[in-house]
Amino acid sequence: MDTIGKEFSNKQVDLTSLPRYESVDFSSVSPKYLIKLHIQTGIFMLVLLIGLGVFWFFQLNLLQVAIIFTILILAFVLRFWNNYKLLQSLGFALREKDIIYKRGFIFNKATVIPFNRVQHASISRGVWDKVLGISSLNIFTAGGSGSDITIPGLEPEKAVRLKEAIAVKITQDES
Amino acid sequence: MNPKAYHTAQHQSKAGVLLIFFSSLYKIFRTFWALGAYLLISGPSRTTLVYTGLGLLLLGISTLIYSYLYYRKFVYYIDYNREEFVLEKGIFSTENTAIPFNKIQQVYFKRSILQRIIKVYSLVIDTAGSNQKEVEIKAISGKDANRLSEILLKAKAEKTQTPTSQVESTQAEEGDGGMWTHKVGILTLLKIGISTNYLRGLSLIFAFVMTIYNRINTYFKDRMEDVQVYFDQFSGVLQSIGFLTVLFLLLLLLSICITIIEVFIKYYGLKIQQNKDKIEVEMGLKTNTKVSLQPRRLQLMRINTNPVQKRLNLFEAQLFLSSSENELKKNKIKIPGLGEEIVKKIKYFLYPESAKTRFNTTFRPDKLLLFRKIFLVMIPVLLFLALWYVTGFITLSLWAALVVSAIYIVLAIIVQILAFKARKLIISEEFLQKKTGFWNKTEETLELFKIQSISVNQPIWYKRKNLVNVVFHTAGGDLRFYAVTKDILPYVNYVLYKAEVSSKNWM
Repeated sequence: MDTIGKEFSNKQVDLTSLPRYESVDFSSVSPKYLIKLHIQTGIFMLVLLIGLGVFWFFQLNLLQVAIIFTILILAFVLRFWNNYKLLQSLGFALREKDIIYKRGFIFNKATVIPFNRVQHASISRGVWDKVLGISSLNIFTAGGSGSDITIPGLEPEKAVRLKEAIAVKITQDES
Repeated sequence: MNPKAYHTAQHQSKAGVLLIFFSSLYKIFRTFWALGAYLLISGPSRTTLVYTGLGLLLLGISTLIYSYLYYRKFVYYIDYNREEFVLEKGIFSTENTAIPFNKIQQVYFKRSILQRIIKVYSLVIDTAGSNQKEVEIKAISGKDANRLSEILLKAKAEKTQTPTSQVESTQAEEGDGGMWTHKVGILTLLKIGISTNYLRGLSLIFAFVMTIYNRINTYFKDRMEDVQVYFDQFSGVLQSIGFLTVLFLLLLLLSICITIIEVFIKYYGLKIQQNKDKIEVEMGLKTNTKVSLQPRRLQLMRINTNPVQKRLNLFEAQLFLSSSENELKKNKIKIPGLGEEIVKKIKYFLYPESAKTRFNTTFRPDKLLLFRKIFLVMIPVLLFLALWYVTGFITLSLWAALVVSAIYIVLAIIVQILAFKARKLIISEEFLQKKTGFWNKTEETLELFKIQSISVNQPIWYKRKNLVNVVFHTAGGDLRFYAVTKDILPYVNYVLYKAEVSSKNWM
């Protein structure tokens, strides 16, 4: 504790010159992730449209269907556009001591996890991930779901490399 | 002390047979009471009764035998060679649990009313295994409980390699009676009971006023129609108002009584004792729990009070602990009825370095948050007006509805403004402190290096004003602060820096 105290004595002046998480270079994820997002949104849209068609057949008149159809299409155009913006905003960066992950266009969120707080890291792949050849990297902490991160759309080898790099960092911290 | 104590198989305290017997009887009763009640109601014949009695007797005897056998088969001992605590139990199928010393997280006592009567303790051993199982010895004498827990804790401390716990183990010498002890007396518990749940009382008052109002309203309507029964009605209304008043007072009394009873059950015999390296908290009437608190397990501390309780010198501390790295079970201990000086002592013990700091920066949220909050509290009034206008569910005249809404709006805005003014985040050299609430004041403290991660959120409409929401995640819960200017970012970096350079264990 004393050593930290000594180290600390010049930190107050340094506050502004501490490394800034907000100004690192982020690497982006594979564009294949955008395809995955689009596929998922597309399937959802198809289901809704089919549902609408069924309703039309049974009880709605043309005008009602037209109104609902336009609203749906508008909502999904927005959704597709948001997918696109989301991919652009996705980014992660590894620093010496922590990992930073940012995502979201409308709700932008950046999470920073110091390596000495990481519990473990894992790789997960869904059906579409396998088809498209991408994987997600999950990093868990003790802080609950709000504090864990999942980086999607990574090339499998890259995900494995990242995971191993993190594992090394964790053990380094423990030793 | 004999270093190899408990290396042979140990049974529980003799009274344990009784405990097992009664708890199994209780279990049987709980399963079959409906059947018994049905039997009694159906008007059984004499022979049925005799047979039932015989059956019950048989059941009782077999339960007793079962209890004895269970008692004989319930064996625990310490295997010093393999450094394990071993527990064997079960008559038909035997279950054998071994806990390595280094997996022991916590050892504590519990007591239910029955255990109090027959003078035994429950000894619980929390483990850090992935199976998340804890071991409980339900009937153990006070002497054994103390010795066993001492041995186990010592063994654990020796096995855990982290330097911090080694320091603790050397400090945890036997025979220190604690540096100070604080007991919460019956009078204080009464005060807590009365002063905590007055909100329930307030809502009762509101309901009462509304009913009276409705009564009078209908009465006046009736009067217009019929002058003849005026006096009848009037006395009737008076009578029913008197009746309602009595009912209301009774309800209020009842609600206070229930709260007091609740408080007594939960916190009876609340005792806090500080030893060199930990604080021990003991409380509860029905199940008496004893928890030992080590500063390094603490993740987040919250102090609650309100002006009434402050006048009575009552503060409530909520301590968020992390029990073990694998389980991530969130543990919260609530200790009410603390005086200001005790709060200070606890704080000083848990956060010894809180006094010295080089800088103290206070952040307040942007006005945007205030507008959002005001907008949110306006929703109920809109709903109310909609209900009033569309459905006939609420029978109020126009002016009454408007007056009620106006009063609500004014009060809500005042409350929100005051709450907004009270909201602040203080960042100092080692700590984060968030203060909220103008009536129910809450103060959350977090040691900087205890964070797990930090999230910075920025919805798109914050961009123009350069605002962000900051969430500090800890293993005991999150600390959020909304709508703060980007000036906080250097401090976010600073907190990260503190966590990254810290060699201290966060739990």
